[in-house]
Amino acid sequence: METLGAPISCLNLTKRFGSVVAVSDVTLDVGAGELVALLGPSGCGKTTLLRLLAGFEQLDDGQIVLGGEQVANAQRSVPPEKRNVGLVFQDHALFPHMTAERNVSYGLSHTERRSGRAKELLRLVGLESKGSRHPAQLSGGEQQRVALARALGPRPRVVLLDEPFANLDTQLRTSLREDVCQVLRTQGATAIMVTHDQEEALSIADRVGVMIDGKLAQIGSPLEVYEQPVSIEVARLLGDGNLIPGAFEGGCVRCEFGKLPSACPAKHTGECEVFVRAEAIQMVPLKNDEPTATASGVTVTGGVEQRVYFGHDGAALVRTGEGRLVRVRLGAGEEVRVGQRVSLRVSGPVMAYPGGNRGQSK
Amino acid sequence: MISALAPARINTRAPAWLMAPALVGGAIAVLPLLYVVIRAAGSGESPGIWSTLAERATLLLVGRSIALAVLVATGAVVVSFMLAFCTELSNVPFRRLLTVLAVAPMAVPCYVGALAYIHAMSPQGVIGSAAHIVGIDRLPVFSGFWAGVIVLILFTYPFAYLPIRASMRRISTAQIEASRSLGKPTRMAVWHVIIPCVAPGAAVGALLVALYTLGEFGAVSLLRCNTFTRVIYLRYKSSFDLSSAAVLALVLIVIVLFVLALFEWLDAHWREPGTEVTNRARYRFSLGPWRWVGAGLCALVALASVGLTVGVLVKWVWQGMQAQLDLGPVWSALSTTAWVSAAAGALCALVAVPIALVSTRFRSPLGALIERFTHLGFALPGIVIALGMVFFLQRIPDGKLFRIFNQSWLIVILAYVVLYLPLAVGSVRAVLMRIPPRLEEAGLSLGRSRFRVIATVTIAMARPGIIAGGLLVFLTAMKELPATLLLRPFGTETLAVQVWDATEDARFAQASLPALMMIALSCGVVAIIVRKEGMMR
Repeated sequence: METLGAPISCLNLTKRFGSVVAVSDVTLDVGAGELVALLGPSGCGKTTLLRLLAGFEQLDDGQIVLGGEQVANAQRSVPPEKRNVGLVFQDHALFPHMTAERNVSYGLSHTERRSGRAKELLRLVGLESKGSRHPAQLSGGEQQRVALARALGPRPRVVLLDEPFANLDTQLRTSLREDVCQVLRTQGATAIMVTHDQEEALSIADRVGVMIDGKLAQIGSPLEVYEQPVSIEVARLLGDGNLIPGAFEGGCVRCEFGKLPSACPAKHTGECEVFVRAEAIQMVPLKNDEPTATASGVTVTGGVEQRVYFGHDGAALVRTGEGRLVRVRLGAGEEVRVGQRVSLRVSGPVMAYPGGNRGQSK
Repeated sequence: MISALAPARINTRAPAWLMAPALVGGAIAVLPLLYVVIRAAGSGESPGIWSTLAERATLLLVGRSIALAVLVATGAVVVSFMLAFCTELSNVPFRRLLTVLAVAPMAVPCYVGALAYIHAMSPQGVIGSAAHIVGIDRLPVFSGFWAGVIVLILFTYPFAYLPIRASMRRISTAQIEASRSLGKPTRMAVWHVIIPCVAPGAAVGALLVALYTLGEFGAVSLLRCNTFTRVIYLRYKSSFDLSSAAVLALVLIVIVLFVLALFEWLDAHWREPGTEVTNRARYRFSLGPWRWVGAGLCALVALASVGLTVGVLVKWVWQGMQAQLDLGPVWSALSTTAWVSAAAGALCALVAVPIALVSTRFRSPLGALIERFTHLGFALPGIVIALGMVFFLQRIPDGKLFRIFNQSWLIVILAYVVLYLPLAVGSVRAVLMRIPPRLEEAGLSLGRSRFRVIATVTIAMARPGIIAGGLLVFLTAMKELPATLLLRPFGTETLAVQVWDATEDARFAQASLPALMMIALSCGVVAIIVRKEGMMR
């Protein structure tokens, strides 16, 4: 038996609800002090995976090892109260009939309660002055801080966060997630956070795991996952992009945008679908009388059909010469009119996936 | 997302320390039923179960009881529909006051209403003397089947009024306007919108009234309306003909279970059409000058039920005070009633907690079964429960255990627990349903044992519901008549028994003060029920 393993080690986890496979053959190791974000659309099984780790669901197959101790396999399962796993819920799940301080001290031992650890934890999350308040008297963000302090109280082996910021408004979400991250790092906590917000996952996690249909489709650093999604599904989940039919040609791919360098680690041949991110396309407005083909086949012209404004940036839908609708990211100052003719150009390497010409664009 | 995925229960089997007390509670709940069945089945020898069943009298009894239940339920629905239409869907004046008056009869125990009517119809009573002025010398004696029908309609219709009113409140202006915009005259909306919307609620109300009627003992007995409950009591009392009493009780149980099955069927198959809640103002039919007639009708119902009863009782109390009646027995009955009911309330609350926990918090078919068993107390007539307790006592061999139960309030309290456990369980369950299981999961993930989490989180949060449940039992048990009558220790009295005894001997003045006290207590029950109904909306 291992004496010192990874804080979290999941091997071939499978969980079925009736005929629905919620978690399918997931293998995942999380190292000490690491923060892993599980990203996926709702219903992809990420919450179920968390509940398996916490002990609220029983495995159908596989095994979970926490800190070298096997806590669950298909036959037996250590009950949640004996796993020493901290949980932070989306809706905080604070005990409404207890003050913030009593919430935090709920999981503490007798001696730790005396030693003032609850106050210390509240200080850690910046709420030392609000210990006597009841949850109803705290704002959403404050409640989530209390929930975090409470989860950290019994010095858990692992902290699991289930969509911890989903119920908060945008501005609060950004600042709170940085604070939470900070607290987790200063405590050296090993954590898994479930989210469906890609920005959240990419910005704070050491590694991002992408779950689709119960499977862990990809896991890697935020950069890896974003730049080199292993499948079309993963690519679609992370950011705006366009799928364009093309073909492999040596280390490159050829498509409507010309011959582009391939970012694929493996060499393929034959037909493929090229994934071009919206921000990888540079758009230049054309004067109406300007000739269409400027350079040798690398630039595509088209007409703007629709534009969307988001505040910090925007997007335009451009109909290309081949009749394809392409989504292009617009920078903060960039401005185009609907109906304007533009030239498009793709820079940098692109991902491509072998397979038939299934779809057009996203 | 977790709210969609998380199961509503803790995903494990109930621990033994919770299952054991729940099982004990469930066992208490089925105890009387079991003993009635055992006794009825064991009456093999002398008259025999089949000969009792085949008696002409028994068949008549079945017919009469069912006829009474059907007539009272129909009458109650008609009265309730009228009242609810006036208070919820029309522009009748004083609607708020009329609504309160419409539920007020719930505060009057049926037998107190019967007592008031018996007196009012007598030559000295209000109606009697009014008839005298008109020229009718003597009204027929107010007793028998039809007297029972009238009194029961007047004092049980709120069981139908509440669901019918709730259905009517869900009818939105849009529905009625849609009917009108399709070219139907306004009055047709009654047929096309209101009746279809209200029908399921009315059916539930009718079944509730029917159940209550089948179990009602005090009023039918005082009015000499021979239904099951009265005949069972008479057979028990007169010749100690326990076997035939048991067989009759069994027949009554079968009828009640049939009504319960109807209930379940209704619940599963007939839902209100279109229950989406709109915040728009409710439609109110303009009745023109008829709105005063509507208000008058509502007031008349209130006058005939609560008005008459309170009037008659106050008059007697006044007369009794002038005649300086000895109030000593009333005070001792009040204190007995209070402590016995309080014990029943506390015990019910205590037993209800594990049952409610097992049936709401865990995946446990046994827990669900126990919870269903407790409903028997609500449906089974008090006299049947009492009889079951008597049979239970008879089976205990003479010894220490027998002496604990025999001639003691303990057996009465147990009967109350069986009767009113569903009230407490329902109350606790309602609170538990609103406590998200995630709170318990949070407690467990903090390393606390299941026992500790349930004690410090679940039960601590459910406390208001537990207290409300106990209080509801306490206030309801104070009015209980048949079980108290059969099981009380020799020579002791509760308020209800006092009313009963005094009415049987036509000592109306003696009955009035305890009766008035009980109405006052019942107002508390009605307030709790009405408040709960308000919360659910």
